[in-house]
Amino acid sequence: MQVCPYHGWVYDLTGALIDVPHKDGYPDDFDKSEFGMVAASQVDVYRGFVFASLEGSGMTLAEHLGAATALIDRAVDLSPEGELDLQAGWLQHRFKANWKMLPENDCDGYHVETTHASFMHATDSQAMDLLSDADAEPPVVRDWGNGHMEIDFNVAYRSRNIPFEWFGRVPASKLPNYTAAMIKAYGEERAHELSVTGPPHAIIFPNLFLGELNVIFYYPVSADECVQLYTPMSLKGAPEVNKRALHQTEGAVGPASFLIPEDVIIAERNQAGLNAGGRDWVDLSRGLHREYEEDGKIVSHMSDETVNRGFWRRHREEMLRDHSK
Amino acid sequence: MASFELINELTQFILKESRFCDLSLYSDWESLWTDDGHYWVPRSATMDPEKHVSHLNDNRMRVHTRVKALNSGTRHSQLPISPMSRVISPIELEAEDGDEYQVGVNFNLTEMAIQSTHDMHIWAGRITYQLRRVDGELKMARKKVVLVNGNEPIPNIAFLI
Repeated sequence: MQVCPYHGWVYDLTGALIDVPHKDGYPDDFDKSEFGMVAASQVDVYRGFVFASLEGSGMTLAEHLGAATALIDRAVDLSPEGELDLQAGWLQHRFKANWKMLPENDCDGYHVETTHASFMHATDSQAMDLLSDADAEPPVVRDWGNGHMEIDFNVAYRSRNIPFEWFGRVPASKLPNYTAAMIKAYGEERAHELSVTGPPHAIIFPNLFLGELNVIFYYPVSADECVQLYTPMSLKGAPEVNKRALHQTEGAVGPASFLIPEDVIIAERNQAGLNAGGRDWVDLSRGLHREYEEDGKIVSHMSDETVNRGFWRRHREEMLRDHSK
Repeated sequence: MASFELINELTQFILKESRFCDLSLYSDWESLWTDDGHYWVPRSATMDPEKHVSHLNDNRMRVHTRVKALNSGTRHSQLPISPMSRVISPIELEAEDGDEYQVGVNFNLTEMAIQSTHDMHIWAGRITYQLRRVDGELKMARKKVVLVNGNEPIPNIAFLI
């Protein structure tokens, strides 16, 4: 039950108005059912992720996600119980750039060595091993359709076949209970595959980022300001993983971390740059000449803007859609 | 009752540490730490560093990594470094155990975010220091910074807070 502290109107937990003080001030035909809280017109759940649309999206969640459910599966399957359990709370980061800088940036493989040079200098990152291994399958970007996209590091990790390389190269011997629970849940072969593949680095259109073992989402405050939130992707039934993931989150994302403050400063400078005028378009053609189709998805070199083009195509569709239907 | 000499010594250490932060003297600041240092900015005073995600939760090795990144010349979020000025309250010696002192101060920090927006950011809160005498010299074993807005959307904290 919720009571409004202004005039004392009482609502139940579904948002329905159930009582109004001093009813005699209203006529007998006052209909409480017309004055409940407004519900989101569309709410649906996929593997624990709640998707809501206040005005209706014109499509079902299954239609919206399409093939990209596989990206969410890749995250949630890392739990031996097949569930996330987000209990660590959220870091909140506010900055002065349009929110669309985030989906553009989060799956951009082109900026890493320049924007994140200080991180590369200061740490011994497994990503560098991956990129410098000539025998490994190179990471790629993939446009999953409907604006969903990823940088697929997993293809590279799989080809190197080293368990938990994606997890800061932690030896499997440090995760004995997790390894046992995964084998019990999925069988030896699938558990091994999950341990070498790792989590996704993917955007679910428009504002959910599954960034390795982080769950991230963002919302606009105004045209040139937004807020991004971060929490460790805690896996149900995996305390050994969650303990490490917590401190990886603190190192990688959030206002005081090593990575995102760099992206934020660049986004704020880009926002200022967009006001400069003199050039009406931002070029996003990188990789157009070499991208290719694979299983109905567009794939290209990790540094190509294939994914950004996918995002903007969906964005344009949504801006042109008649949402009143 | 702690002696004036001790209070003065602890105060001087904290004022020096604050000045190193204000001036982004990263390596000088790193030299103030003990080998087991813990630099921590939780989202609020009651958080558990092993259960709840913190803004900053550096063990000694990560303090070193942080300083190395800041010294790299490519830490864009602090290029150029933020001009800063922090006011530190009189100190409170909260606990004393042999060569270790737990000291609390309130602070108010003004930061100019000159890397992009040129906005002036106000940061405030309480710092709890764990200071230890090592070979006669005071060192910092722990610095916990509880911000008044730690659980709100906040801008970058890429500088030393």
